[in-house]
Amino acid sequence: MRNLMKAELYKLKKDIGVWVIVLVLVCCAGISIFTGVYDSVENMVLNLGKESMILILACAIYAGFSCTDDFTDRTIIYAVTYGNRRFHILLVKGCRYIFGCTAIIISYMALPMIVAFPVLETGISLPDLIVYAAKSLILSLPLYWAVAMVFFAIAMVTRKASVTMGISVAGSILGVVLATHYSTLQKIKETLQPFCSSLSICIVPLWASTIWRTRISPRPCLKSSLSSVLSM
Amino acid sequence: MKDYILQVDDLCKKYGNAVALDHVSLSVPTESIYGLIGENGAGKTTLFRILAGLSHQTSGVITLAGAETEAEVIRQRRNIGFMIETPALYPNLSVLENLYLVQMQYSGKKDVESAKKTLELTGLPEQGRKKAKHLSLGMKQRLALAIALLHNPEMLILDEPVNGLDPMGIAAFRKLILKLSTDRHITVIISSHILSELEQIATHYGFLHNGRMLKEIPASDILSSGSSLEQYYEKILEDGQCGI
Repeated sequence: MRNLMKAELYKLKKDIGVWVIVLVLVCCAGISIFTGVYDSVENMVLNLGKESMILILACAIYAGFSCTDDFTDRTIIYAVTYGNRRFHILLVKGCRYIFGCTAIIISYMALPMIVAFPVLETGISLPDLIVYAAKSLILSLPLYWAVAMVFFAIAMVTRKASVTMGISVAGSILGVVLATHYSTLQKIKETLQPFCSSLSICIVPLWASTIWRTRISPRPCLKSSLSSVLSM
Repeated sequence: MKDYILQVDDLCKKYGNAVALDHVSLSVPTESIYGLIGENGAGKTTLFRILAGLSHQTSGVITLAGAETEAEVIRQRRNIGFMIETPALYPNLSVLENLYLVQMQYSGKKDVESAKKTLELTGLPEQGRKKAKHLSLGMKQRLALAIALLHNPEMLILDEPVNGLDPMGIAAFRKLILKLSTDRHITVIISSHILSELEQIATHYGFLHNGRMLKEIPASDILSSGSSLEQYYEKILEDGQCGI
């Protein structure tokens, strides 16, 4: 499993998908900075932290890029023929995806701040700002990881990039629309967020492994993915 | 040394009601070149996929280098190089990076020297920096073979490796297989529809038809019968169909 993990990290290092997504997100943030959407660095950091939809969509698109390539290129056969267990293969692929998502989230939070600091006004010192951004990042990361694990599970079930992106993006939009429409859902989300996060991180790889082993129909898995998204 | 590196006994594979392999038994002698012959849908790829661990048999026993239990077979499988169906490559990585990545999956570290030597052996020494997606089909086949050879396997399983190659490419591939067999004493199981090519390299044959093994025979026996491989195959097929 350690060998597999090293190979996945090597793949992550060579994966330009992460950096393309980061570049697009930072460019979007840059446009907002230079066109005067934010009046101060604090305001920008606050707004970036609130724009969870952008990062969820980025994770959804990245799931399509990164999680299904081994299936479409059939390179998964190397990991299998070298005697690795299916569960271990899924686990390391999940880790690589989570690392990639974390890199996207951190870059999206950090890089615009570096760009904005010399351009926009600020009332607080840089170290204070970094501490504030780090705190907001640490608090929000589990939610992104949990949502990302759902996208990962979708990728493992469908094993097709376009289908994964389609379902994940559509599911995210639907989830946010429902959450905004039913304001009570937002309260539920806030209450259950830590519970959902930890539950998803623990359970998703396990049932993904079960799907692989037992080769059950994707329908119940999609159903459970959808209910996971709605429950958040 | 064991007489047979691979023995398959009474292997069955069913997909629902469809029978892909019907009580197939075969024995591959150590250091031989075993030609598996059969028309499309005969069950060759299914058999290879089961041997590679990509699919599970419905019933039957596989003995790999003396190993019979599932855990031992999984361990022994690490000594096999596989090239099944189309070349499985990482298209966005360079040729060398493809090799490094597979090395890491196998041993956890990249060995630049070994990767370069394998590229030389397979005739791709100048292509190391080229991305895999930019290679021609022949080069992709060579790269897939390089990946299969990377960990110095005792046995190679090649599923129609010369598909899509030009005549020169086929000849080069044949020479390479012979070289691997004589120099490195690698056992090779190879399936191909080009019987004239198989005739030049194989030491043993297995004839698969509709998921059933019709016959296994050493190449020398066909030679002594005075018929070519193609004639022998036609005869076997006729007899087999009569039998069925």
